[in-house]
Amino acid sequence: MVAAMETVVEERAPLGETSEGPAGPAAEDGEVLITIGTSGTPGIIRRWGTLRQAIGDLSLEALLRGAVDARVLELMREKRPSQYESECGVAEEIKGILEQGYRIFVHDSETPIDSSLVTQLKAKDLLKQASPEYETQTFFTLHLVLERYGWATPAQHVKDAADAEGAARAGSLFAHELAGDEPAIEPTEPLPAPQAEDEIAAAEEVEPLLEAAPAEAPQAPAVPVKLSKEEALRQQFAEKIKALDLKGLFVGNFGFQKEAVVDVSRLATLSPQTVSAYLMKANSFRQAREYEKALSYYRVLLKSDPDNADFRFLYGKTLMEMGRTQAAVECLQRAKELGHESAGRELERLAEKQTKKPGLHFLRFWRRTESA
Amino acid sequence: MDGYSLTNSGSAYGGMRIIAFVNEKGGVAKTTSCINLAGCFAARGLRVLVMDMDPQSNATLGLGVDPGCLDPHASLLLTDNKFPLERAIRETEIPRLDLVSSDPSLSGCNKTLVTEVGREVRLRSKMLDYARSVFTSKYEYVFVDCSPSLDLLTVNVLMAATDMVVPVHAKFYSLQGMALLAETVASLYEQLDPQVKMAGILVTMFDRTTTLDRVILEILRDKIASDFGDFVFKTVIGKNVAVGETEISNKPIVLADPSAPAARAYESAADELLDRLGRTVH
Repeated sequence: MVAAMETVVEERAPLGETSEGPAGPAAEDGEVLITIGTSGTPGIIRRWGTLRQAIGDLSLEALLRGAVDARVLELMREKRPSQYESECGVAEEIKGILEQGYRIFVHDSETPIDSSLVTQLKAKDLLKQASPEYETQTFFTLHLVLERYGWATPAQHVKDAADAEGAARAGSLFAHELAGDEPAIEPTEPLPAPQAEDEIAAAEEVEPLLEAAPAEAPQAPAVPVKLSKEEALRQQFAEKIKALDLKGLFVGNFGFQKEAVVDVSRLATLSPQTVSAYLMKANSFRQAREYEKALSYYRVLLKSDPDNADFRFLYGKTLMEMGRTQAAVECLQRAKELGHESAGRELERLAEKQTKKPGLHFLRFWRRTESA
Repeated sequence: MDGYSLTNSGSAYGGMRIIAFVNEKGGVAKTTSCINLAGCFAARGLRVLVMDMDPQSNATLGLGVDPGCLDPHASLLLTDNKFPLERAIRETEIPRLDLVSSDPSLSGCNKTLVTEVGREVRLRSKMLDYARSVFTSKYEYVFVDCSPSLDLLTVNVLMAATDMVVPVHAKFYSLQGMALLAETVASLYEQLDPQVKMAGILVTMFDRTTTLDRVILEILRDKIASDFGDFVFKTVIGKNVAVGETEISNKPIVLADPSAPAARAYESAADELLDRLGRTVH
């Protein structure tokens, strides 16, 4: 499980070892540390650890970056075929984070960071309070926190990820945010020297450590605000899902049978297939001489696309077959105006029928016989 | 019954509830949800019949029955007027859980039924006959696994069912499948007289690490809640490799690997389904 997050100076620490080697490059803007606790470490990290050992010379960061590369994916596919798909999803998350300019540091479960464990656990609890959606998924949490707390911008310095101060600081940040205060502005200078582990273990040590940070430290330049993947997806899908008319699923529950007719105008934007289904239904009703039902379907189609020559023509033709000549003529004329090829011909037929007036022939015959 | 009671029941079937697992989209875990929830119900002491109405016969296989065997299958229920439900039922290895198996010939029923009178209500009449033939129905719940299409098989199930559960994948195509189902149900209500009511929408194979899944779940929940009410199961079935791994054991995961996350999720979903069914009056 993710325990705490913080920016980090450390660049690469071989998995399974403490990061006591060279500290790596100096702190940079937009770095993020994911500290993985000694318990509850996500399997995904462990699996990456395994993969890293398999790959050998790749740095952790390179590995994370490479998680979307064909080579690493191939290894995943080969070694963990059943988890391949899930890993791809996580890899995409990481890629998204990296693309936003953040660097990721991950502690492996074997890394002895006992001093930070207390803080990690605290951070986890705080995360749970912060969001009921909090789950044990590392990168979901990372994403969530980055978005919700605006931790994306400041450069946060911790000398060593296994450092007691860094761990304490991570805890204090959560506390600070949850207290409803302004987001913590992080110093660009390294924090004071690490304190002893036993001091850190006590929760009350967390706040003084935060206060110890130089208040006058200049703020890191802000990273340009980009639309997050989640926001982009929400924008993309919200309208489409809104357009899904699911009323029909609930007709039995609510008894609105008549109202169950789906609003095709909304579905038309969503699914041409659905419109085709409506058209087929309307046509089949017309063929079965269930004209009123056919008209109701043509009407919703016309509502969705009033200038559709085909819908207009079919509506007019149905009216014609029903004997509603005047309405049919108006409708077919409109279809003709809209460019329907057959509308003119149908109008001619109608005109022809009207001039023949077969009923009058019979009338004349009847009158003749009567007068005779 | 372990604390569960049948306060409301399908009156037409003498208290028996027929729950259809339906979505036109394939691969949304209809079968997995059907057999696992059935397994959970049986484990709670309820008597359950699973009807496999999908020619792919996955539910049949999943409950340890060979679809190729010569015993009577569901297809006879639809094609033979005189063939009673009792004869199609067989026991499984799971206590209190019986099965009406499927075989690939079931797909032929779509063609056979086209010219038949009352083709949409064949299954319904068989279920009614069964319910009337005994004083107390042997089963409290019938779980029907539908095929991933809105053909005559599915229409028969919808006409016979008292409730439906719609498993969905948090992907847009899956939701579109649900919209098409909505149309079919609406059309049935316009022209025939189904009794089916929505028991709930169950999100399956949910990948919490994927932004897309989370976003779609959130939007879907909001939409359903604002338009209709609390119809999306609170329980979400997460993507779990153990589901695939236990398929080979021919048992629902809730029995084959009860500690797996998906098994626990289905247990929770079963509680919720029982609660939801209790709230729906027939």
